[in-house]
Amino acid sequence: MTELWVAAALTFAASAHCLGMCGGLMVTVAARGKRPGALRDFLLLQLGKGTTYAFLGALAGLFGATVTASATFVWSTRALTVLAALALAGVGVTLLGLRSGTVSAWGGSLAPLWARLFGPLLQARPTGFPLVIGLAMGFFPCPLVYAGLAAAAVTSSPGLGALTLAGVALGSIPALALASAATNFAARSERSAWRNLVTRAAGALLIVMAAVTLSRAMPGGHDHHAGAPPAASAPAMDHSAHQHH
Amino acid sequence: MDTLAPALAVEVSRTAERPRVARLCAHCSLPVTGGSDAAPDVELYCCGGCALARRITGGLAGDSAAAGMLMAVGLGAFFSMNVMMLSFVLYTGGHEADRLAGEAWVRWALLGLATPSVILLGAPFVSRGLRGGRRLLLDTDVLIVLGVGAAYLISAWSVFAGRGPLYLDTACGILLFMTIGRYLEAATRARTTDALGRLARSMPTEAWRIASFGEERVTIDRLEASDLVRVRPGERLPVDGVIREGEASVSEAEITGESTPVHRRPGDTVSAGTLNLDGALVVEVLRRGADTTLARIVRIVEEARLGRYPLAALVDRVSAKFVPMILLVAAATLAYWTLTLSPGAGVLNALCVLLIACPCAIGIATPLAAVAASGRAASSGILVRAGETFERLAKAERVCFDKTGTLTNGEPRVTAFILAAADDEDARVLSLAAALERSSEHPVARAIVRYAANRGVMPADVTGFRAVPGRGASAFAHGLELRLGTAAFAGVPPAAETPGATSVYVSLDGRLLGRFELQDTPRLSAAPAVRELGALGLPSEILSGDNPAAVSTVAAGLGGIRGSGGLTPEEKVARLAAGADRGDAVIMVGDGINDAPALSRAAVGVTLEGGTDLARELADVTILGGDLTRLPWLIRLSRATLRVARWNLFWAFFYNLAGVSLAVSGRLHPLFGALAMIVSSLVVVLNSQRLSRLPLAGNEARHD
Repeated sequence: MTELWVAAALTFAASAHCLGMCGGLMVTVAARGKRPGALRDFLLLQLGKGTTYAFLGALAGLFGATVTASATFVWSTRALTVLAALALAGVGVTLLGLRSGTVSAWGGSLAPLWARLFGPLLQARPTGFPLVIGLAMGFFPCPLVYAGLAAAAVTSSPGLGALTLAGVALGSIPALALASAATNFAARSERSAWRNLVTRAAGALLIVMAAVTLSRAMPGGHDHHAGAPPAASAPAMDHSAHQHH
Repeated sequence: MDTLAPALAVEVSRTAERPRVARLCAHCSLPVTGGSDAAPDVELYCCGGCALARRITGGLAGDSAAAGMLMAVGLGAFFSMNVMMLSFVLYTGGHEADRLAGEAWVRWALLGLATPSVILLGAPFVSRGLRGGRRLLLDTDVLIVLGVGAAYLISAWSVFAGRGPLYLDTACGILLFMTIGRYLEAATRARTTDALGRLARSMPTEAWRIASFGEERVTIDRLEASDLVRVRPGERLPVDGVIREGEASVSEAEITGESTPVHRRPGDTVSAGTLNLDGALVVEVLRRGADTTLARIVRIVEEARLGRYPLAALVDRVSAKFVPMILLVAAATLAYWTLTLSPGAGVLNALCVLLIACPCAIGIATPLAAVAASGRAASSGILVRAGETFERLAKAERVCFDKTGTLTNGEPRVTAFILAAADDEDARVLSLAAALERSSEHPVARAIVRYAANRGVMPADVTGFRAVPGRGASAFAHGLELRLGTAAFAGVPPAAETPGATSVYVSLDGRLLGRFELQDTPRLSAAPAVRELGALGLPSEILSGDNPAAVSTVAAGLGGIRGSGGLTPEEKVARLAAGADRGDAVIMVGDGINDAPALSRAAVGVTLEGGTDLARELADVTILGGDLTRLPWLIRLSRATLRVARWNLFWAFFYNLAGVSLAVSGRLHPLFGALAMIVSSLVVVLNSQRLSRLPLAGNEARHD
């Protein structure tokens, strides 16, 4: 469960970012004044988003397990760890504001597709619709999710990967709850100085994480990760590949 | 993507004939098989993806229906993702996972999560599969229902029995991937085939009718012939008609593909769907709704999609053997793995064979390329009657042109005006000639009137007009007799003429005032077209009934083209037939009336149309607006189309063979089989989309 809490804490630290990206959507879906059911809708949305996150995390973990289980696992594990460290560092640099553009451009090009796909749901608002919206939202490009997926791959376990991403979902909830409770909050905080400061701090934290991850990939570095000792995961993957035949 | 093209829906009978194709998919405009028995107002879809996409993106169903469908798919996805996530954890094993997998509640939880997912996501497949099954059509939906059903039932039995394999993640995953994959494919495919929709959408549905009490807004179907409608600047023309009042620049890009606007005056005809850029017009209705030129264009392009497609013969030949073979392979796989390992493994591997071998990609490989190309051609003002035509255009080796009206404008134009007396004024003689010819409908008269008008000369006043057929016309100006016509009629001695030109003389009381020389001039687009065709490796030739001298004049003027004159229509056909016997694929370009036999004898017949009136029977290809340089553009498009179609087909077969071998050997999990299948169809769709990105004719970067 360590993965869950670490990821939740990190995401919480960086969740000022969530206000800009997802805060507006929270308001659209869940917060309509003091409407009854607003809390239920908010929770459904988080459940949907969390499910997608955890699913992606499980996939990343499965990928990590497959890589570690391959014949040259020492080197492939090392390569995986280095890649994950680079991904973490990349996200950290983005949050620091040193690199910009790519992520938001992606989101922009998705907007028309999003409107076309989910317009009917947002208009008709059938019971339980925030769950589906949340499910789709989970696939939105998000640097925090990328960081989470990198970490999930390193766990080399679907279960731990899912927990890591569940942590990301959990960590973003307070900020998003704040956004949907105070409609104007997101808009005001958009420009606020503290938001920049907090986001940058989270970026710096991620870069430290990246350094720690990288040190594990170095020769002589030791894997102090609880989740997946390579020796155990190799036969495990073997089991999965032949489960059906 | 399942019952798309005839080639892939296999009748379980011994005849491998293509079922009759009669309708187009309401979402992506590809042909739908077996749609001929459906009521005309029922929208048909070629696959579940299109049905889903159409409902979600606001086709016929209202918001609530679309929302309901989204909810069903969304909830199905929610449950599926949980099932898969839990299953992944169990797969990786280790102490914890093995302990979990042994727990009964975990198995029941998996079944509990999977059941709603299978119901929600599987329902559309079941209903489509039942329909296919009733017609004994073995399409993907039937296969998916059988395979997923078996996987689900075996797993459910294991849960109840407390032991045995679980394939719930496979069942849910296949349904989820297929649903999302089909939706994605349908959405992308609709973009590839949408050119037609753009044409149809440019048609207004209402018009301002001028009535005795003013103007009223009426729907198009309430208009009748000879009604007057007002069209304001910036509005699209609602009907085909004749301008009665006003002048305007009209953009006819939707009809002719020509982006430069043309100036239209009272008396000119205009087409529905074209754009009035800058003038207030009063238009008399000639045709409306389904009778308009634009509606006809849309219909022709639609009909073309129902015909055969490039490489159809090859696809037919291979598919006739391919599908029964795959069924045998799947049956053998089922038997082998059941006997050697377990029934579960048998079902899974056989399912994987069927999923991988689903001929979706093969089915859309060539139609999609042709449909994308025909849409692109229609946007450039070129109507291609059948998808197969692209193949013949791409393989053509020679181009034959008729002369009059094809390489030339078909109407004489004044090429020179020579005054008899050097001190006389151009304008005075021109205004007299124009006054005389204004009352005549003869092509020569029209040419002279236009010549005078272009120079800003107003016709003088004349009285007592009289036409003498075949010779000329006369009238009186200020009491003097004015004559215009042959030298003999005008009563003057003939002058030395430029070769190939016709002279017309003007005289006043027997005294020569001046002489017009008229010639049928080559179209401006003729020379560049011949040059570009040559660059594409297609030599050009003139086949004309006109006298050999006139033909060689035109040929010399154009350059790079051989000329044969004095041919009867029968001789033209004989020439083409001789070429065809030698194995030459010849494109014949001519007018639809005199050259009809030659056009039908050629590998591809091409006609030119004025662009505002599609009255004639159509050849294989009709170029609206009469720009000959569209022909080389069309050749390039056709060659690209054939390349894309071949590549699509190669990919589809290659992928199938590779995938089937993996599946038979039990090395491919059905989930990856489903994913691979979607990817292969998407590859075909995206590859065909390259055709939609080719520059439109006239918008290409010119080399010269």
